[in-house]
Amino acid sequence: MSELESRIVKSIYPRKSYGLDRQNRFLWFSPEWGRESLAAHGVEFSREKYVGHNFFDFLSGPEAKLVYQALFQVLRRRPGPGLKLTLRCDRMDAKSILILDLQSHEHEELVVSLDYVLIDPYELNSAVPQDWAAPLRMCSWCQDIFAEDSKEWLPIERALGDMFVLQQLPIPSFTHTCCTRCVKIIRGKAHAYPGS
Amino acid sequence: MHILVVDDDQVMVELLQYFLEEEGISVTTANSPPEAMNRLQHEAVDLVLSDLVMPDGGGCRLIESIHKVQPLLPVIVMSGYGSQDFNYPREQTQGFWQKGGDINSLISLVKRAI
Repeated sequence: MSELESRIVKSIYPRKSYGLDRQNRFLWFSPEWGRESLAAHGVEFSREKYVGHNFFDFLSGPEAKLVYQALFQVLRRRPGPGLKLTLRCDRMDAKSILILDLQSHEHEELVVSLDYVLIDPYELNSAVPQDWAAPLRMCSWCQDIFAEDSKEWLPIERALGDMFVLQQLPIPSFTHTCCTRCVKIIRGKAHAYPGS
Repeated sequence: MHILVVDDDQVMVELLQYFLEEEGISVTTANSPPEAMNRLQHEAVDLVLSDLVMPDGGGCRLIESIHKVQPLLPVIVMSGYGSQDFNYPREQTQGFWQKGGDINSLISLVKRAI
């Protein structure tokens, strides 16, 4: 359990999930979405508003899109135990932490499970002492992120999890580069590129 | 064929320079829009390949600046973000390449634009 998870105040809603197809279109929603909608807003959850539509059409801000695109790319490229990370969520009704569990299934389908949890905002602020004035360096090919403090490339889920990066306001910007490992791989494939 | 590659990330600049030169294209590089404009004043180039997200005004301002002084000079833009995430003057560019994509497609884009 992470330091953050150990300081969670309480869960707001039951854990819920949705599935995405390989084009990132919503496939299904777990029943908890309907229960939450009724309990929180007094209205039925409208699945038809989402099913068949692209996940990214419902995100705002290039940084958030970039992070999810990178996570999805990593998941589809590396099926296995999945990814788990905590993100800041600035919902209209409650500032909270979103704990995401992402799993890759057959045919590049993804299952995203999420918990919204409340955390004391003062606790949150004290948990993120870093200054993100400088953009984070992301490898455009493997999506690893360069950790300036340890001077190493980290897998995105570890980098974001370790840095609590998305719990900051504003979300830091990213600059795109090529990590040392991918430089070697890509340059090694030079003969396979045009002209050959 | 002579290309100006503009990116604030030196690793990207060197990587792109390597592949373009493999294709027999000569490359000049710049790490910022002001440096790029300075290069354009002193060198004749056939195309500009520029990152969109950079300090000093970024790629969008660079496109506008180039358009004012050399309106016929082809410009290809690139970014790690998606093209739909930017409001850049598309009519003044000859294509978009997403970083992390196939470098083959970038080379094709460059050759088509010139």
